[in-house]
Amino acid sequence: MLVIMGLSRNETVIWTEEHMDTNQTTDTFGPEVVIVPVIFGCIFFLGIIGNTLVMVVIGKIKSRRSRSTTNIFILNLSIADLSFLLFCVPFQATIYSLPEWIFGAFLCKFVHYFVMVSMLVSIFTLVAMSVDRYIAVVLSKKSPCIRNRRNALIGVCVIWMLSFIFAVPVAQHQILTDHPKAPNSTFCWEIWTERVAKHTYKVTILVIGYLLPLLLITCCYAKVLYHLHKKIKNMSKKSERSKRKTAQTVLLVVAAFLICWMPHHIIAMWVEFGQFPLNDASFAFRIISHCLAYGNSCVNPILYAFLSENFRKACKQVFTCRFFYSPPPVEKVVRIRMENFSMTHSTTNI
Amino acid sequence: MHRCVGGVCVSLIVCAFLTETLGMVIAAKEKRGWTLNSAGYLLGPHAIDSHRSLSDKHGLAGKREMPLDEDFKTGALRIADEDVVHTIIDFLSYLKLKEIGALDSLPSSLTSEEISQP
Repeated sequence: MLVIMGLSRNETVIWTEEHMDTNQTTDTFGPEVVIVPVIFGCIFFLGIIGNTLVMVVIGKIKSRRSRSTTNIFILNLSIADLSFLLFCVPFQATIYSLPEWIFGAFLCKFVHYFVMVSMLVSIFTLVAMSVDRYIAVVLSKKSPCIRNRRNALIGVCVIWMLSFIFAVPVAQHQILTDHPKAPNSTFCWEIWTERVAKHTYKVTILVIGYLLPLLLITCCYAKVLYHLHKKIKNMSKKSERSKRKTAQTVLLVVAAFLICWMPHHIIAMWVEFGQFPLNDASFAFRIISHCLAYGNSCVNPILYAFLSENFRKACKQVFTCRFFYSPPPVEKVVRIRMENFSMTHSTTNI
Repeated sequence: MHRCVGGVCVSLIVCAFLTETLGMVIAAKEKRGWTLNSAGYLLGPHAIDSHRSLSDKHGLAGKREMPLDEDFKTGALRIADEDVVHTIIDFLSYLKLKEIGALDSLPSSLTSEEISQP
């Protein structure tokens, strides 16, 4: 009898302490409750402003440029990045600032499904843009046949369809659940019944969502640079400057993609095939991986749009038209600018 | 106008990098870190069970003085509460769950359990 009583007392103590831990987590306001949403909020607004500005400028252009394949892909990239920021940042921020999932079962599935969709669309669009530039520069003779509005739109549709399909397992396994250590709370967790299936899916996403895109982007741009290098002998100084800018943009694009998504995939593989530790360092690493992934959606409009001289001219044109639209004489000036604009465009294409 | 746009671009880039740098610096200072919500979100329920057992041991080691006080308070509350039966039932359920958790923490039993599940 005495022995049994002793055991029950020990168990009681342990249970009480765990209950206290839960209370402490819920009651005390740790710094991450405030800091994480603020950080994510900054990235959120930067991304919203950048991508929205891109969409406005491209939407406003009424010249031939609005039909170019490059602008179609840039527009699609901004839509994907905007979706990613809208559906990913606010909800995932709550993972670190709230003790449980408070948005219900439907949003649990939909939010995480669309996180995967918009991530894949963003990445596949980057690949499509690399292929587009490769065709424009290296296959310049065949370029007019391949690079047209119809093919670009078909590419965009294929990108979205593939992304919707590959994200289906997320919707299947992201479910609302509870846990014995927090009986009154609900959590939105990914639960797989078969470990092998989960491994397979995670590796598939790593390959088609990171390794393969990185390979394709690197190969396309490498060939672009090599081709431009060959042409250097025949080019003038202006062309040489243009080549340098292209090279810089290429390096920035590849570096941004590589750096922004690497921590995310490192953690995913670590969780899947290793023993991921739960300590202060791993928590910081996890937060950083989120910031970098979101940062990619912020950086994309800067890399692809605002660093482009043509795009800046288009931006300038759009806002100039707003200010000086009414006076008739200015319209003539605008037309002249458009002519110069198209000439610049054709030069760039060559 | 051209300079303005350039300035906007530069400021956007600077803001983005500053934000990420700030994120890194502040994240490095985090003390509280993982919660049941964030850990389960990343690892899933099975993995978090085994992790919790580790953190429980750590918690016990760190709070040797606390149990005595809590034991007294708990005893008093139990005498006063009319929900004694409910508490006992919860406690018994917890014991069962803990047994399952104990089994999960062992690699061989974990493997056998996964085989039995499908």
